[in-house]
Amino acid sequence: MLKIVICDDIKTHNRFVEAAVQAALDEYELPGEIALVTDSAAEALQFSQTPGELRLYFLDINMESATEGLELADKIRQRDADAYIVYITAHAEYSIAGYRTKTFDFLLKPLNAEMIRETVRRVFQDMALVSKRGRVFQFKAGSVMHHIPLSDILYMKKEKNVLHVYTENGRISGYGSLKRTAGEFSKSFALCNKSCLASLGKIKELDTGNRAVLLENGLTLSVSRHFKTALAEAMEAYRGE
Amino acid sequence: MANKLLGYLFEMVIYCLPITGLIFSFKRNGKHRKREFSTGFIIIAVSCFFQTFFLYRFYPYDSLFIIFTLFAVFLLVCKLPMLKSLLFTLLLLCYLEAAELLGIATIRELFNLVIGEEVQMRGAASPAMKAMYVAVGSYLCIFILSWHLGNKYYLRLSERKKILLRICAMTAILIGYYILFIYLLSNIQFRPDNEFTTYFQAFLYISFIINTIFLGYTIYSNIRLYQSAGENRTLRQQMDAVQTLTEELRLFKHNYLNILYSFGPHIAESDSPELIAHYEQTVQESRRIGSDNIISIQKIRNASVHNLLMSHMAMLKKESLPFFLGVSGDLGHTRMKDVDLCQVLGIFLDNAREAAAITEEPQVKLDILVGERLVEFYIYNSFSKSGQGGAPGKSGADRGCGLIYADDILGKYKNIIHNAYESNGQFVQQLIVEKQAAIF
Repeated sequence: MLKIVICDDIKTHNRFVEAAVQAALDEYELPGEIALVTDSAAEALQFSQTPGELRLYFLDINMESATEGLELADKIRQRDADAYIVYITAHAEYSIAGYRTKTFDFLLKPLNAEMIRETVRRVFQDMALVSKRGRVFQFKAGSVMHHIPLSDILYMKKEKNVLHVYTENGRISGYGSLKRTAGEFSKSFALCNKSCLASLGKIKELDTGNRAVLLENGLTLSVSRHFKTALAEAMEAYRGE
Repeated sequence: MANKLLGYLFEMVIYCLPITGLIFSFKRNGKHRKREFSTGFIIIAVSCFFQTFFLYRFYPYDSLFIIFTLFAVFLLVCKLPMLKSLLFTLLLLCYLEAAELLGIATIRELFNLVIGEEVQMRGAASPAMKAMYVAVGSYLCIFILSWHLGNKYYLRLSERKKILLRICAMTAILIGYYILFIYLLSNIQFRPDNEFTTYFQAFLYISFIINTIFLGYTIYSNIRLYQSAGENRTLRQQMDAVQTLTEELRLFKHNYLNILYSFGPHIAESDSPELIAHYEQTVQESRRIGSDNIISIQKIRNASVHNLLMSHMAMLKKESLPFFLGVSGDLGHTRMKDVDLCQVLGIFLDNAREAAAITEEPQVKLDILVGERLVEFYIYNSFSKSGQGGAPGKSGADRGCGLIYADDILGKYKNIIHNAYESNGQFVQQLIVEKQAAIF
């Protein structure tokens, strides 16, 4: 059950957002409830401190108390790393602050019910996606955290300080350690050479003579002599499971 | 006894009055600074007259008499800051020379030395101490002068450091020069028939000229910096005024929008279709002033990127496509060449514009996050493959050329991150580049 918190210093706005959120929950029959509607930042913050289920916050940021609004979001994020935060503001410039607090969405006033309904729908869509994906590989690229399902990854490659993750849909690059990843996901991935980590589930064949692995999509990765045996053992163990 | 007291008085005058003048010259007191600067010069000038009187009385044929008199006259009559400063520098130099030489020999002996007569040297301190004394004195004079004329409040850090480096280099040269100078003066008996005396005289003149040129050059450079700093100060004042006005306008705009949108829910609940229609129309018109792109673009100090975005903003406006620009800090130069960065951003923005144009609610957004080490560019457009199907852009032979070209450019650089993905129903191009390291 998703707990929804609405915080705006104008009560009529609160009522409007509340009605729109409730309409979205009813329309899509979503497992969520409005837990708190308040015009007090302190009250919203207090609510975030109590442990409980996953939460969705609609936070208003206006000009007079923009800092207060952004600080509130920061504090909520510190206490609740998984929460969905949605900013509501009349001023597009605050969207830049969303990167810091990892906001899910940014609604620009004037609001309409459709915007809120769409946001609520996407929050639930994202929740469903995360639960279905199973294990994901998280890595950072600048201020954005990328989440890639392990099942989508073909291989990873390290070039200088950049880690490239190749999936069937393309490539995502960011910062990360190949060795640490190999250690963390040792059951699903194995090193082909010192700069390449292949997904065991995507390897079609290991050509020991030519020291190469053939992936399911037809791509070939070179295997170094040092990692050949370990890769073969990892493949055997993976297939055995 | 009377002569001794007179001597002490002479010493006091020669040291104290110029120092007082210096203090007045460099004292900062807001708008009265200029006046006090002139007061300082007048005190120095008076001290010069005073000293001239004593010098004339004791050493009527001294060459310094002429120099001091000329300085005193010039300091009183000249009004140009540059000339004042140059004369001031030369005066300081003479003080140092005179003070140092007085510790070794009388002015008359110096005069005799210069004209080639026999001189009996009688140094009061060790050569090392004298060298130290003169070097530190010179250094302080140059430093204070450079600091003052360089006007550190109006110079950038790099310029201040350049001045400091130059001062340090000059100090090293001066120390070397004075050590040699004092050593020779203290240890060699000069005689008219001594061949070395001729060389020493030449050395004395040449080193004096070199020293003056060095100081003159430093002061000239600092004066130029000071002048340009003055111009920058005027520009900055103008910019501050414009910024204040912009900020006030922004606050007004924000308040206006807040008030306008706060009516929204009440009007939506009303029974008057005319009122709702009027409100909707007002909101639509107000959307045009909703963006703070102009304020954001002011943070982009990189002229190439600034101009690129200005042209794209004009294009987007022409096509009536909403564009939002967010910049988190001052954007300067990056590790990418400006020309390459602009080409890549241009391609991404063109693609975003073309893709957004075919959507129901078109929108292009560019966020620039400037961190301590990295600069992140996020180009959003309202086109979503998963939401709308198909791929936007050109058809035929030109299709995808821009992105291929962008990839080629990005391929030239290491440690650059480029990702293209979907987020919240929008297509995003993410580009992360390292900032250019500061020179100083």
